[in-house]
Amino acid sequence: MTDEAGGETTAGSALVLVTDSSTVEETVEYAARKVRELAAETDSRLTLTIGTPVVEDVPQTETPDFDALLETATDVAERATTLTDPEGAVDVETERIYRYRYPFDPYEYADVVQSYATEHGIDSVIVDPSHATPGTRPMTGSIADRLADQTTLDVDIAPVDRQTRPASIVTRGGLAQFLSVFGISLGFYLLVGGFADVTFDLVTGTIAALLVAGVLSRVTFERTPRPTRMVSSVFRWLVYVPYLGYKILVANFQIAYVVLHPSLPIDPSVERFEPGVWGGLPMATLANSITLTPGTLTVDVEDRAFVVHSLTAGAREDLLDGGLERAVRFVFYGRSALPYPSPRDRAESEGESS
Amino acid sequence: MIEGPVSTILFAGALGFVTISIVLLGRILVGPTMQDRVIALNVVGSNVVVVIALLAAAMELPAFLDVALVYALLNFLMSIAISKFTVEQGGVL
Amino acid sequence: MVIQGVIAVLVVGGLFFAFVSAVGLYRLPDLYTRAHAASKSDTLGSILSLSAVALAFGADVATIKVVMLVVFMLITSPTAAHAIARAAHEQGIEPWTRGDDR
Repeated sequence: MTDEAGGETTAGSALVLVTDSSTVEETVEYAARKVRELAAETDSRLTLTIGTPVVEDVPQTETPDFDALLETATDVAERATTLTDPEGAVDVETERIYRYRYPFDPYEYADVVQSYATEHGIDSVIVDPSHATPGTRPMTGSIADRLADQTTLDVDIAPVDRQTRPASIVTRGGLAQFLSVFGISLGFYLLVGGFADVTFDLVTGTIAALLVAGVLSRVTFERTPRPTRMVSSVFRWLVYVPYLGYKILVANFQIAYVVLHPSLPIDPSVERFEPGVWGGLPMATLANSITLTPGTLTVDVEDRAFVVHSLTAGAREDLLDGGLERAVRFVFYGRSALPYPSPRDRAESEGESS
Repeated sequence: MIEGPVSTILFAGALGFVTISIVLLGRILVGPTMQDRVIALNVVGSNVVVVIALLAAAMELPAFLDVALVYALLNFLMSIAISKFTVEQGGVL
Repeated sequence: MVIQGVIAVLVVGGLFFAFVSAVGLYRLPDLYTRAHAASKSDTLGSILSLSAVALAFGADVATIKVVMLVVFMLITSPTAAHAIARAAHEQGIEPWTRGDDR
């Protein structure tokens, strides 16, 4: 995606960070206008880079639709830059700046932005005030504060009205989340109630589910649930569960053999490896699956790396072959994610390159 | 109470699980670390859940299953709470 | 009659794995290896026995609850084992390796 046609960028070039937020268009427009004015002042050719937090090996089903987002942002930027400036003193480029690693927390995120900017001669960054926090760790303060603290870049928060989102309770995403949580809670209530007195259960269940959804709907989902995605993901879970069940069965016979063997043939050791999945739920699923399957137990997650305790050498080999990891990638990212190097191959290629 | 081969099997299974749980009390007493005790206690807890479920089926009292669900929940919470507590040494969850 | 046999097999299987986890908890040398026995064998033992319970109830609302119980155990058991192992890891308890005294 980094084509060399852009050539050397001049000082004054800017980067605007976009994610799935309601003020993206205003932010990009503001950024484009700012860069255009600067270009007119200094009479030079500047580049506006639109960056999104996408890792290439995380397929699009996992993240918000960044392709569409980038397209919209580019349209807005090009319209804003060429409106009063037909010659086009500003180049608009799009870039997935976190190509190789998913930013695990805002600190890493800021580091990645900094190194990208240094590499491409960018000296200012424009941030959407409602830029969603990347990564899986909660953070205090905004991403703009983090960037200002940690980088040498000139950080500018786009003066857009961030009130637009929190003020309205009934956004489409919010409604979908509310209805999903409501439906799930009501269903669970009725199930546990056992359909004995349906009218009574319906009334009390509705009240309880309304309370639950009202309190918890904002924190239940990481992203807006969409029916089509849910259906395909349920289907993939249905493929995964029997596979996991088979693995669990094998695991148990191995454990039974090891434990009941008179000489107790174990060779425990601790491994560290970086899993090929990103985000809270996929990582938790993989960690739990590792714990359930042959001779391996996830002890800790240190930043990106899993610390795995393995009971026997055979279990270690299985883990590094990555069959389970590939299965979890299939569940969360679909069939396109299946071809992927095993943890052992990844470790080897890293060893060669460094 | 329902008589019959199925409920006899289930009662026998429950008895087996209870025996295993009693044997495991030794590990809880021996330790030696806090985590050893918690692991053993966790296993005893899930055995008790199974015993409750087996009794529910053997005596045909589905209401026991609700008890089993709540017990499983509490068992999980206990493990998490104790491990969290020992990591942060007196820290609140 | 067939169902009775299946129930018996499931209960016996569940007891076998519960027994394995108990033996493991006594024989294995340190808490990490014991967590292996606890998280795997005990989960399978519970699941097999709960399947027997589900079969005994047959097609009933109670069966749904048993299925919920199975799913719940499948998720919580490894999570609890992980939490405990992690607590030990952060306390600096070293895992046992070959060559150490038992």
